Amino acid sequence: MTREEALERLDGTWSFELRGDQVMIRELSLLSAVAAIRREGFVGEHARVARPPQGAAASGD
Amino acid sequence: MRAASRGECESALAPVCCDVWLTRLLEAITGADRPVVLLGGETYGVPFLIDALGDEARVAWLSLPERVRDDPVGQGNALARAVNQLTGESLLPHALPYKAHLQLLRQYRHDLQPLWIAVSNADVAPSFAAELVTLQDQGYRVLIAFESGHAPQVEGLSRCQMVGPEVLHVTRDEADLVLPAGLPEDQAEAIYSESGGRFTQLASLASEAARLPRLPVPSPHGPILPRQRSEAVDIPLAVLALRREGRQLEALELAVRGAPDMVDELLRTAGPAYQDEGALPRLHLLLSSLPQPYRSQERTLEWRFLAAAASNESASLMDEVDAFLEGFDAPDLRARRAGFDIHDRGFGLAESAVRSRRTPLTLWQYGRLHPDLARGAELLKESVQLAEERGTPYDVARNAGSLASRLVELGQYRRGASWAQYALQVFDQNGLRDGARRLRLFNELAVARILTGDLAGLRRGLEDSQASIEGSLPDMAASYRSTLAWFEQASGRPEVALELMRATYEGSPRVSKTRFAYQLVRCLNEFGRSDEARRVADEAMELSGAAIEKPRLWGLLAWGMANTASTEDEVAGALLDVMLARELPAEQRVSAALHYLLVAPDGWHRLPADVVEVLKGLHPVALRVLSGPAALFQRVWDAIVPVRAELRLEFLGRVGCRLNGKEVALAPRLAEIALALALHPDGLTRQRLNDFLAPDTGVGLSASGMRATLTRLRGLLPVSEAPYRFTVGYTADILDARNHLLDKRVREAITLLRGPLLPGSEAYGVEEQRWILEEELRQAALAAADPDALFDLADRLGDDPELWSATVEALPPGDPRRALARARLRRSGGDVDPYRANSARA
Repeated sequence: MTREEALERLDGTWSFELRGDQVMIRELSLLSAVAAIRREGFVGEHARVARPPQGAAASGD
Repeated sequence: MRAASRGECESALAPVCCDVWLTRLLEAITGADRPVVLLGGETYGVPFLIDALGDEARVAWLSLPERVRDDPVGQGNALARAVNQLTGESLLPHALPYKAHLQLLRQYRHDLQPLWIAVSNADVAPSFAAELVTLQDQGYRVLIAFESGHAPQVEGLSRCQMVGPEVLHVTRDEADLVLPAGLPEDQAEAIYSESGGRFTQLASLASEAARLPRLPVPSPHGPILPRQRSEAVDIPLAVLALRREGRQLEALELAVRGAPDMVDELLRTAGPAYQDEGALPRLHLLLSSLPQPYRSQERTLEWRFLAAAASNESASLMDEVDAFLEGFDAPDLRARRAGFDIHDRGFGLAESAVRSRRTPLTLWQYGRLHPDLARGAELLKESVQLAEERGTPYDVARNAGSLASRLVELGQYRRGASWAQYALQVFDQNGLRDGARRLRLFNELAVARILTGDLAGLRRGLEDSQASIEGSLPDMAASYRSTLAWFEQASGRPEVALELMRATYEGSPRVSKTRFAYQLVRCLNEFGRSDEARRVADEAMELSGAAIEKPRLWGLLAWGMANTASTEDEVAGALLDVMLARELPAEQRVSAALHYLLVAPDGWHRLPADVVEVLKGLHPVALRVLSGPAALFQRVWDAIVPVRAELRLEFLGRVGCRLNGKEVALAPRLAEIALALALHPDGLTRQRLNDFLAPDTGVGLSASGMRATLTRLRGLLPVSEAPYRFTVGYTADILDARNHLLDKRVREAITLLRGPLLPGSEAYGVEEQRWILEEELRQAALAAADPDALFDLADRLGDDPELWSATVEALPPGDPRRALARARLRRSGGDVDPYRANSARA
């Protein structure tokens, strides 16, 4: 399945509303979790989760 | 007017007072004699109404997220989550299409009701909502809420009571109670006018005017902000928060959209979560939507491959996966790839994967694909150990399930049952949700248990599972029907077994027909329907085709079994071919062997050694399941399990009598006398026999009537003159059950209780013995605290609070039967923690 086909099929089924680089959140429990992560230092945790791509195949999309 | 009423308000939604509005609408909803559809959604305050309904009644509330649009499994998961949260147990499985849940809700209606099922945001899946409406006919109350102000044109919704914006709308008088006391009239008018009578907006503006904290909107997942007040959060931060909250599915989805660099790492936990929820098709879409280079990272590619396979699209990724494997070890990806290759090459790949790294997955695949079945079993056992040390509970359950399956294939039924039971325990106790996998595990357990003669705890699970998946998972339903047919054959209900196998055979596609033909032939043979058996076998032979080995062998097996009346060498040859085919599961080879021995009684020496080993260890129940009828096969069975007595009697759930291997039909009165004699080996006087036979409130037989009856019995069975007793050695199921109880084998005893002692008999002695036996079993089950034995017995004996209470105690957490046991305990008047009064949200 190409990326375009997948995006087309996903259209209208996304759980979140995005605005640019941000997501709109309504749930109070989730906002509390966000606040807690902010307090603990968001950057460090993000760095631990995200990894630079490696072992990527050379083939195109 | 506002000031006077405001102080009296006791609304649960304080600080906003909306008692009058709520009361009016709750009366409209609860008073409706039809399912209710609310139109207008959150704007018109629908979440507040559902939340308030939960204060008055038991409500399973689910809100459909956008991602389950066109996804019957996701819709089923949402329903299961809501009901399970309400019951506090894992009653409904996940990862199955919602039709399975509807069926289970119909089956469990008496245990779950009274219950409201409320669905909000139903716009996502109107057809699902329309099917939920049918539950109202089963005694549930159903409330469907659409965000839109108009109901979609879907068949099934037109019968509902529509409550639209014109009714939900807050009147000016009701608004006066919502607005803060002392608010100037013109300001109140302005707020009301701005809100347009829409409750949520009105309440929000009222909070603001009163300088109170913003009013949260109820939802099944806890309070949420009104839509216009939602907060913008950086995507990576929100992904982390979702992950922290355990919401793996949403975390991954959001990362795919806005933080693709997080996806590969997230898949470590999110991949198994998608698999466990039966959401691999959606994962396939999500990962396919990733841009390069993210979509070709190692773990991402592995999950893309697995997810594509779940959507039958793995072929499109083969080249990409193979290219990747040329450059990288990627042991887990390699092991996944191995499962999709032809046997030798697949095994080679699995071998190289495990050589590269021993992981729960690589070792599992290596064991599964190993051509030597026994060696494969050893490897699978190692893979379970490795999963316990380094893997997830899902790995453990999967690997243990495959080990169980392999052991059953090898004919090691007792060991297979132990591993299947362990896999299920791991599954339930760790809250795993993949309903399809659980169904496979339970089916494996049932097959192994039936072939070891241990039927305790199986009936309810088999029947409920089969009914739930009929129509939605046809292959699985067919497997369950064939297992149930074995169960019924083992339980002495061959007519039910035949019905099940007929339905399975006739409803199956061509290749599966061949697979099930031999079981149908077995059932037909029980009733001597040889013409039909031969017709089925001929059809199976024709449909199997000669090119593919297994279907050809299945066709041969059915044909051989259907033609045992013939002494032609061709029949023996066909059965011999099947016996020698090591690629077939043991039960098929053993079936062939039993029928071969019927055709060639002196042919033991031609049986393969491994088949002989399985045969010699077979439980008598397995012999009956795999071959029959007894009139033909008794001598074959006797050669395997020697018979100890000339006379065999059965009184539990049915009447059965065999004298020297030949069936004897006993009329009800003669069966009662046979029972009396069986229970009194030293004999009974005429008076005592008459006392035994007399109805509770009536008189017994006259002297001449007794003489005539005994003469009739003597014409069938060897009975002495008074004191009356059998003059040959005999066994009886009621005596076997009591012997099992003496030896504390309560599962075996309960397995024998196929039904009440001589059902329908009103003889005093029979009724007394029936009560005594049930009480003996009851006490033994309570003392043993065996969950299967307790559940079976409690289910059979009905409202017995002590038994149900012990069953709740004995069943492990996560076992779906716990919810039923708790409900039965409640219904039988026992002491149980009541379900939470307010609604469950999912």
